[in-house]
Amino acid sequence: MRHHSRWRGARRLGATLPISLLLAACGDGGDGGDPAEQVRTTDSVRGAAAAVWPAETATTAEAGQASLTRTNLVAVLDMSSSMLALDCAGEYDNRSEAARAALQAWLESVPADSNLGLIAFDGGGVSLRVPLGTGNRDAFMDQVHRTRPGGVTPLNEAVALGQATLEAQAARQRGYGEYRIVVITDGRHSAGSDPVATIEGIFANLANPIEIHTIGFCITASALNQPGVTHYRSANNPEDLRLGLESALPEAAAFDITQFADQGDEP
Amino acid sequence: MTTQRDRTREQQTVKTVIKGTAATIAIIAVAATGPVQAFVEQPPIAEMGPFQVRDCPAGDTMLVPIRTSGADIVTLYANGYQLETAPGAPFDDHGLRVRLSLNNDVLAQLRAYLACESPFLRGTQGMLNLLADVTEADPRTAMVAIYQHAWSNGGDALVVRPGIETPADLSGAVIVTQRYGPHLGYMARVLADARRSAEADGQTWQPPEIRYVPELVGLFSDTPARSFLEDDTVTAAFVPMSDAQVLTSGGTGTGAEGSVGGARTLVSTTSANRVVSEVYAVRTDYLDVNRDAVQDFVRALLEAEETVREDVIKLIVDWEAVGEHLLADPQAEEDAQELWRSVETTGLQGNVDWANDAHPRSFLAVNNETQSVFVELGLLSRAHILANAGWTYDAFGEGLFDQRRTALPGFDDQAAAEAVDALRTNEAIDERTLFEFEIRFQPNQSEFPPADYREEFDQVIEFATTYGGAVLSVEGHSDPLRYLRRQQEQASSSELRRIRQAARNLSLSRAMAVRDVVLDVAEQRNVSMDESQFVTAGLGILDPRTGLCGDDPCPPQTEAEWQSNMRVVFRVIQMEAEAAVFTPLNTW
Repeated sequence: MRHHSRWRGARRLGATLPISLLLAACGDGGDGGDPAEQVRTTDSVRGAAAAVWPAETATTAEAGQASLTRTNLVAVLDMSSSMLALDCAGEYDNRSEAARAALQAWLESVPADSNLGLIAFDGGGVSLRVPLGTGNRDAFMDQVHRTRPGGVTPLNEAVALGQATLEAQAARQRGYGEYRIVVITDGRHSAGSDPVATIEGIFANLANPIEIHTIGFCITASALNQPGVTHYRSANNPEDLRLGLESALPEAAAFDITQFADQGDEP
Repeated sequence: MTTQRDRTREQQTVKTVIKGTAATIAIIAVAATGPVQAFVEQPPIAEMGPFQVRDCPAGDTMLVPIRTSGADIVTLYANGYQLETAPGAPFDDHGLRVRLSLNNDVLAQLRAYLACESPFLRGTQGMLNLLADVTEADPRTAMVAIYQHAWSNGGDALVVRPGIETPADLSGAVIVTQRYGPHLGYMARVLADARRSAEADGQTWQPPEIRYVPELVGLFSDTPARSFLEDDTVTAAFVPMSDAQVLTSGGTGTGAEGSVGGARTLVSTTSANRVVSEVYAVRTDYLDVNRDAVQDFVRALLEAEETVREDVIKLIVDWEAVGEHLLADPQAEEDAQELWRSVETTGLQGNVDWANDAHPRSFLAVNNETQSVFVELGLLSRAHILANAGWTYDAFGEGLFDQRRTALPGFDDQAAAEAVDALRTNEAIDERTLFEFEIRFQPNQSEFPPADYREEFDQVIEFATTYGGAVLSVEGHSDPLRYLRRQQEQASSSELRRIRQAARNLSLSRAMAVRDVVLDVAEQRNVSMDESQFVTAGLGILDPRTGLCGDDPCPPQTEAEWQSNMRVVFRVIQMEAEAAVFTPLNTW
């Protein structure tokens, strides 16, 4: 009884969390929709337990703790024509050059035992350029340098492909591990390719642990830059990118419940 | 005392083709009504005398008993599927002349053994232990175990009435089994584990009342199954799987057509597949004089065992001969095949393990657990150290290619994981748990001091090998305090998800660490464990010891509660109803 009453206090504070998924205001094509639209998701442990992710189970599963809990990173590289713009490129000739440098800097923070893959879109369309793997860092940068800015910006397709790539791997890892999509973009997307729907879909499933990280060029209002939903870093700050992506500590290092102490004991 | 049968009982016959059993197979007609049976005494075998011991005569022909068991198909094959050795049969190849004789009556076997009409005993280890007061009284007839045929695997079951949910509930139960039958050793092990489980839970163990009947199979004669069906004071019965299927309607008894309403199988040799050990023993004096011939007998059985397994796959077993010689019915080919599926022949590697006193399921280990209960039940006057031949079975393996069996996975790991998930979801996991212990961890750590849990790991290995058909569930957990703090501080949904997933990963790492240590300890003890027997899961903060308050974990209230959440729960779980979790036996 005591536990239940204490928990009711906690629920009042944080169980229902608003997730604002603002439609990208930076797009070069208008999707319409209400920028103020909010998706409200009731976030709870029980809700997460009831949800299913990934949807499929692989017939050939990974074995061993290291493989099952492996971190998986898919970089989505925007090499659309808008990346030829000169602004927001800092010391580089244009955004595409800055993007390559940013990825190189970011790559230094990627642990060697993490799976890494690359999805890019440029004049050649959107595709998986480097499959998820661990011994592929040279191939990764080689493909980054082979991209040439041009074409449209199928940002949603690319993020969705990243999601599918990670979920296929999650099926092999029985859902354990870490899953991140790292998008390097200026946030401008083609008409009908706002990634908001894909990001919304990811967050609608409480069991889905895929994180969206954005390395952005002057992105302000976008589905890819939403505090509390996506993790945003500026491409203009390579030092920040080298810091890497910290892992969350799941457990309290010491026992301390003082912050729960002022909650009522009984209903 | 003899059983009072009522030959005029009404019979409402429902012909039921029943599945196999380690003991026998039959087509039965289910009796719907009839008087309650009387039970018989089971005095110690020593009181069933007088017994006459005779010296073994010289002679070229070995007189060897066989039982109605799938294991004895190997012996039949070794003799050319005939009772007298056929030319070209494995026994013939070793220069042996063998005369086989079907004898399921252990007392009759004993009399023939003492008179040296046959110098061999063929039975379960439980049956042989039952004879020890008599055989060990004379140095000539002291038993020497020479060969392990098989383990019963799915052929035998303990069925229970509603109200008995776990083995510990057998405290004070009324249990019926066959007098001097093949289930006595099985019963000894189950009761020993039940008592341990009850006492671990702080219960006072009341010894069950054991009742005996003279027959084993079916529901018409004076069998455990009939007693269970007709006498509602009997709360549990050790029966062949064939009868268990009828009594429980193949799951939970409906009360119709020979079943008992709500009855179910509590534990069968599907889970406890290293309990009923089928063996051969020989008289000491006979072995002393005929050592080479007895060794050749064992060599031929090992070769035959390998060949029979192949022949089953090739569909070239002479099932008609098996039916004729083991079931007295050459038409009973289907039942003969079921006999085979109800055992797991042990072969060369099995005999190596069986002869190794340090192995948790060695001849010695099984004798020890059996005799301790037999003495307690008054079936033996004292414990006896029974000899095994002390042979290096590896040396008998020349020409055999089967060195791989113990490395083969026995479980479909995905199906096993799903079965454990289902038990967890249905909150049925506790009643299926045979053994359980916890390991604690420090915050954010997946390492632990294995030495602190040495005794538990030894028990796990013993249980895992005894209950080779049970799943070893290793379930990791994490503490939710940090998550709850951040939630209260209104952390973003993204961060909360991240913590939840990190907690899952940590809990899995803990489970895997425990599994790896168990495997290491087993390897140090030279015990082969089947990795597919393990089901590891990381539940993160979904099921903390401190419980859920609404939709989220309750905050731990004390440091002890906090620490209790950072744990791995190790369970040995019986899988009686989930046949899909097992890969087929004897089909490699």
